[in-house]
Amino acid sequence: MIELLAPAGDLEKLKFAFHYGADAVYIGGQNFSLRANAKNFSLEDIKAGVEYAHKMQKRVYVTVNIIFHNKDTEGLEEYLWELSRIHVDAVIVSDLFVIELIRKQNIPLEVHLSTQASVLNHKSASFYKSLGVTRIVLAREASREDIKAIKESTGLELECFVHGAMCTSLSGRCVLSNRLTNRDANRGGCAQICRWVFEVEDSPKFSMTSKDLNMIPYLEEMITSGVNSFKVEGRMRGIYYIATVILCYRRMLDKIKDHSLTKADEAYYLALLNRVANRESSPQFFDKLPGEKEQYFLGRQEVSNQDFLGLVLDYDEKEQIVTLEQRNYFKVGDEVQFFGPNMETFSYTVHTIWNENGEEISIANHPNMILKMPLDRHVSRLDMMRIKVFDKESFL
Amino acid sequence: MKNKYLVLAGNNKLEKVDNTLFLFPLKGYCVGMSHEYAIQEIPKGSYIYVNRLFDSSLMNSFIELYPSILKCAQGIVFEDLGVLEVLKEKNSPLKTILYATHAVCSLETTLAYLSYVDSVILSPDITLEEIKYISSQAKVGAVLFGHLPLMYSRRQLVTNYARHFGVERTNPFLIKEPIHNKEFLLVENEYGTVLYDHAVYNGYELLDCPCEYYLLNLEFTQIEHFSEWLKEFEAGQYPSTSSFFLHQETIYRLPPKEERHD
Repeated sequence: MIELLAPAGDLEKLKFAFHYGADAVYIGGQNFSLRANAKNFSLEDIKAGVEYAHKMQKRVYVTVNIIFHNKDTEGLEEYLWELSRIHVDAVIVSDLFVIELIRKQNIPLEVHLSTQASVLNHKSASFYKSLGVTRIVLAREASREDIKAIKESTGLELECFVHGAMCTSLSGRCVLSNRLTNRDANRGGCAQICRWVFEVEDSPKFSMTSKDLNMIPYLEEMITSGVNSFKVEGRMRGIYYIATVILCYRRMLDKIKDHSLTKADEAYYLALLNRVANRESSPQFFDKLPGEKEQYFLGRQEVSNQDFLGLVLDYDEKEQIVTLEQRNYFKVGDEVQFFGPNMETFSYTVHTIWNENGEEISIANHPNMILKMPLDRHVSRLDMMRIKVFDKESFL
Repeated sequence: MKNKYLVLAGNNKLEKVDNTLFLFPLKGYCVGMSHEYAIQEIPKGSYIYVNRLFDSSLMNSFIELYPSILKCAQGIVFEDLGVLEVLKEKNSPLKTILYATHAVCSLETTLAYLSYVDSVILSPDITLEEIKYISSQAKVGAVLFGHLPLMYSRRQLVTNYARHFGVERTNPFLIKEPIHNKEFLLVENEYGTVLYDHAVYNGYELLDCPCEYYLLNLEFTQIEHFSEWLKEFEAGQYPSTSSFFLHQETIYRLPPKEERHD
């Protein structure tokens, strides 16, 4: 089984993740999950998400991955029972107490071990297997040798991150946020102190920020090494990021399956992925110990991505008019691209824009305004329009 | 645990004191230590300390080394649960103490681990009240003193920095966070980097808790006469540098935006 696993911070993102090609999503409830300050899912939302997924033969995993303090345990058992009644496909767990609770109370839930446990070796994986864990989300620090050894020794399902932000620390082994901001990193409050800048006496400022992870050059090798689930990081990310990243990985995994993935494809998708995150990325630990090239030092500023121009709400085949919900400023004369899961990306020059009242306008500058544009190529609801970023042909 | 104190001595040459047991960081299996011991250097009847998260290659080395460990050690303090799996397979007589630095923060978690190990050292990230409660219900150890480890990275953070800027690399390496004016020590070896708080944690108040034993981490602290130092400490005469989280409960979830003052 090869699975593309997407993050989903809410029900809308869940639907976009599936629409753009994810086989499964991981989500957090409103309690007991990291990303404690995200919107997250109520039990009703989880139920709706699971029903939506199962109709499409897709899967939903729920994170229950905080490290518990005494007062956090109240209501946990009932919550787990409720998740089992909702028929979630698995819970992703870090604290041994939760694994033991599920086992001892015979709660019918499949248990995946969170990357927070930072498993890097076959004996550690065996320990968790003996407790009924069926899948290990490996530490991001796992090398190809670690992955192979764990698979060969345990036969467990293995889930590996393939894309997204990296912690500087081994997961679950950092309380810098606790110390400097009082926000508990292991209960979802991480303030990302590893992205801050520190002073050193009589020397340049110190930074330990990691570049992002991408596993593009090694996807095929990961498959042959025994990885089952290819996980994208980012439950706090928006729909444009999720759509772009999931579609890139969907296309690459499908091309690997039919032996048609080329180096030009890889270069094109890497360019898209780096642009959508506004960060550089590399395979990090899979093939070597990351060095200075895999880190950022000074002089880097986070700039929010404003490539996402509009969401397709409707396409009138007869009149050849697309209806869009605006997401970022654009104007007549701009070069844009349409992309979606069931089409080849194409470029287009905006020459006419009508507002909701049918009046012609030259700029689209109000967030979420409804617009219409003439378009002579077919697009579908939930396809997206972005600024023209790259021509695939230029990578051939 | 018959002894009241487990001691990580660091580079200090400490005399043996009643009720204390020295931990010996095992060479190649530790990060963030100033001094490690080859297996041949470890006295018989000791407790060894292994705090690395093992990769599969290191795990294979550990399995090979196990007969030698068994010859010298009576116990092992560890973080990686793979160690436990090996000891179980070997039907090992070694006493097992889990010190999973940040992972044991509740009574329920403690009890879950105690099904598999002889003892557990509580995370130093919890409050005095939490430690009191857990130690009244379960036989546990607690961290009493020392520089607290706040982060463990597999990366060589100081080496990478020194290479990038072409500057001298020291070990430990001191950095300062300017907004909160807090300093940190980075300690690096080929297996990774541990970031310690430069302020020394003093958990003297924990001596009133019913903990079974306490961990004294004297790494990067200079101590000449251990027995005198310990007497002073037990009498509450050691400077109270920082109680860290003992009186500072961390936040699980931020309050709603309208109630925030940030």
